[in-house]
Amino acid sequence: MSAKTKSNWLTYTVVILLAALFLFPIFWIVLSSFKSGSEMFRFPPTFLPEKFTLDNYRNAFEKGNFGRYFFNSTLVSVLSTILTVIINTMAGYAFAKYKFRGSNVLFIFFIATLMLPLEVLMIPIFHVVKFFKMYNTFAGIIIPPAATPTGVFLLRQYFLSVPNELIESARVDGASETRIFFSIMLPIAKPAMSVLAIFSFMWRWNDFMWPLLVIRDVEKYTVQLALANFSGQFSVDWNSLIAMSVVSVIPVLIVFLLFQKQFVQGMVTSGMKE
Amino acid sequence: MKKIKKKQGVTSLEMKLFPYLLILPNLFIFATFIAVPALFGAYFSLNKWSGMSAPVFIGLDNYVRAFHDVKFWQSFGRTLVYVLISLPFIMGIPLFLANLMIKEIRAKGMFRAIFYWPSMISYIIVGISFKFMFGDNTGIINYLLSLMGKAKVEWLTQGSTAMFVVILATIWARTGFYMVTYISGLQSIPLSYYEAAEVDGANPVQRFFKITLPLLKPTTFLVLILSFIDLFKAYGLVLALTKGGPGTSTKFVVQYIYEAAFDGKREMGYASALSMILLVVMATFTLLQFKVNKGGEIQ
Amino acid sequence: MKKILSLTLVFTLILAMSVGCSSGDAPSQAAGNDGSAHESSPAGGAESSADPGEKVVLDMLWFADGAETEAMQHIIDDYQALNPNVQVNLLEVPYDEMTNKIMMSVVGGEPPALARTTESILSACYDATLDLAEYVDDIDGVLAQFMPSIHNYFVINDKVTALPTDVTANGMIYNKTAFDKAGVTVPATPDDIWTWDEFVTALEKVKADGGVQFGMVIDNPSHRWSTMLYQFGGRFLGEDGPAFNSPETIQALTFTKELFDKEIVPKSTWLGGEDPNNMFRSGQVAVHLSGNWMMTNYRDNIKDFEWGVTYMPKAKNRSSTPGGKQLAAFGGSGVEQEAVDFILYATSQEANAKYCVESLFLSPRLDNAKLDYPFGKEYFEVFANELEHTVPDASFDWGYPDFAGVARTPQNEGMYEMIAGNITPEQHAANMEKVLEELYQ
Repeated sequence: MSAKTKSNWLTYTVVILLAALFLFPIFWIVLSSFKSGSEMFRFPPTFLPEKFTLDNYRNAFEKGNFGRYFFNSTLVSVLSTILTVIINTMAGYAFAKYKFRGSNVLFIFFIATLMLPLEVLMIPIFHVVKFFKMYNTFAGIIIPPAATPTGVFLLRQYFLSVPNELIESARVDGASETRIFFSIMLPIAKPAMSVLAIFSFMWRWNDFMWPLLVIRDVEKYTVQLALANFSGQFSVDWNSLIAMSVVSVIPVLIVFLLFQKQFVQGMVTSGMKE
Repeated sequence: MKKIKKKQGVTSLEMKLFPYLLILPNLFIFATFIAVPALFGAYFSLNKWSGMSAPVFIGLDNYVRAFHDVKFWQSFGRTLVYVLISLPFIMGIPLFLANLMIKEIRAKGMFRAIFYWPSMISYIIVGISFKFMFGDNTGIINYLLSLMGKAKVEWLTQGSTAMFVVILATIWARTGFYMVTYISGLQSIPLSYYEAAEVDGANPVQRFFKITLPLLKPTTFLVLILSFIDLFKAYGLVLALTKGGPGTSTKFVVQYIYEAAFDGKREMGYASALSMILLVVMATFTLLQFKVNKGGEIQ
Repeated sequence: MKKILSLTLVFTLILAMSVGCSSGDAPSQAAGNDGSAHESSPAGGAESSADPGEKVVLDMLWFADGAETEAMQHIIDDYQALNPNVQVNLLEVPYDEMTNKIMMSVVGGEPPALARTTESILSACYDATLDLAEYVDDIDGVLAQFMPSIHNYFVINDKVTALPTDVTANGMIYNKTAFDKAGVTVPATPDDIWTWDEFVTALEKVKADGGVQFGMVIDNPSHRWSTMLYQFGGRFLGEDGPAFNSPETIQALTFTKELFDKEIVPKSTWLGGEDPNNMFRSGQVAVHLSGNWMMTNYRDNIKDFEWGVTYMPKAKNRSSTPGGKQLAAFGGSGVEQEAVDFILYATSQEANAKYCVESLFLSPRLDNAKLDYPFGKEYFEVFANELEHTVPDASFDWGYPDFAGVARTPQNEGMYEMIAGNITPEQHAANMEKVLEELYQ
């Protein structure tokens, strides 16, 4: 066996082992979701469901208008992601490639706010949302979370690794800043933008605090808000919670599968003189 | 020469304005919805406020109280332990996986999805799942151990093992996110560098340390800062997993602040002061890291 | 391959959404909110309203453990049929967030018309609720219809902040199959009630011969454990100051610690967050110190063994710890009178009886003391009996303003430390005494 084949085998083994470890909890949860209420907590636990049942899913769906909640979550996540990617890419590029007055201070400030636990700021945030007439609207959960410091940070770091020569030579050729951004930088940033799209969708999909703060009407509830209602005062409705948790992960997975190919592409290096 | 200088003169105004235009939308939203409330938070930290009635100005009393608050600093210490132990794993394991994921393996996409999937699930669900699995008497892990003839472990009943489970759950839940971040960073390294190195006779280990790591610096820095902040702010996952237990063994600083704000006598003013202290501490750490790493730029 | 997988997932999702959309179209989820400008009002089911222009909309913040939501929806439907110009929206909020949601809505100027509360939620929000005495002529007559022992849960500082919809009693749920197997019989009448020592002996026998791993699970060290505290003659609060640090309390604490040390109660439930409900459901435990709210859950989920309800043991006294929920209305909603009207309706004898029977709850109304439950009638009689023999200390403590908020976390944490052996019962009693002093300042 050549050295290359050997290392290949090793690689595959390691990957498969790790994948198994990562899959185990999800696998266990999915299996449990198909067990009936009395079987779920049986001890000793059973692996495969004795009686495969969709009751948990059926009950969970009947507990609330989950079709609507899924629609809401999807709408909010998609719109917010589009907004996020646009404005964060712009800001990330600015911080990476321009040395303007206050850029360092501003950037540090951006990152600093990542450190604030938003829960404690709930009341002032509520007032601001109300002031802008965004209370109980989808706009209120689409717009405010879109200015993610993480997103700006991500794009900034990505742009930092883009050689400055690309920009310089474009300027020498007489291109305007706008043109450089749209025609050159954006295509190069596609991998990072795809990553941000995946992340942003996931963040908005899993948002709990913003919808809790902003939304009043039941028809506007998102999936996470509805899921939290399965935890009552005395007991957790595990059966429905587990079933709906499984379902709620699917859209995020779809987005990942759709976008992950994008950021696999390497950076375009043509047109560069070394 | 002269021609180019003239062109630079014409575009320099655009060059000056353009960055401001670029950051404007982000800045506006951010200032309105985060910065302004944060400033309010800073103001409230100087007050005694229950959230319902009017705030009463008390100057720096909250901060004085915070410095004497033994329980606060204990939770701070616990958080530090948690962060310092988790950080190497949270930075190392995703990097390792990312390297594997850009090799020529079949079903790459599927494996990537498998590793990324845990970070897609909301923290609350992760916490509940791990609690479910590691239950002393009803959990599957202890059952598997018993099948293998080993004694059951009191996973969540003892402080030290509870911390272990929390760290494990954190690593499981966050690896995918940072792995994806690393992959995008790895992809930005031109293949030509590697080819040149191979021609020069460098082996994979040398290639990794001499090419990959240095050129990956922006991404590594990103992961360092983000994971540091993320870990320090751990709340949702821990709350769902252990509620800070057993006792207070896994009660971290954000949970402490949250309880000060919303439990008991609802001391929002004091909680705001604690948040400010947390902010200052973390900002200092972060600033240091920025200085040391030169902002994560490749030199 | 990936494309197929993505397509399958998308298809599943669309299927899920359409299944979700077709079910559960309750009228309360149809369009409508408090009339302020809003976007994208979904179509939903049309309301048969006599005069759409005059419709009064009441937003009711609601949390539930399960069956009550449907039961309340039926009450709402009845009310809306009687009052076609009123619409009541059930807005479900997670229980843990209810106090915050109320607080934020009130402070932010968007108070809800109504909310479902517990005594601990009321003790945090009573400043914001209406004083029902100002809206009802004969408030004393109304109050007299409800159990006197729980009045202080909703009459706070002389303000009638809410009216009760149900009352809960703690009680002993036991694994009949295990008890039968071990040959242990439970007390059949209140006269046969065990003392705690006798009870522990019985539990040890069931643990040994009944095929269970543990004797008992207790839900939590605060509300549920306080039942034991009262049974031993201890309490948290006195008229003028804390009364926790007493010989009776220390006896209760020491006894409790022994239960854990002897592994009659598993440490993992209090220290490790293991769910006592799940443990009992899995058939590993002989007895669950819980309450009447578990009736529906266990009826639906326990199929592997037989279970029942029996009387709790006594030490110095018999006692339970009353709980329950109320409906409160809030100032500044613009629909205060209509909100109060709904509360009066929902807590009136007929409506309340219907609600309690459907959700398997005990009624707080004196005239609904014996309801015709479709399930577990004998059990409810036991619970009602427990409530009748409850010491007044129980509702005094839990109804004291701010008590739950101030006491709960320190009590929980102190009990953990005591069970773990880090502090003694005497130390915990002394610590709690200090914490409780805050309430008297």
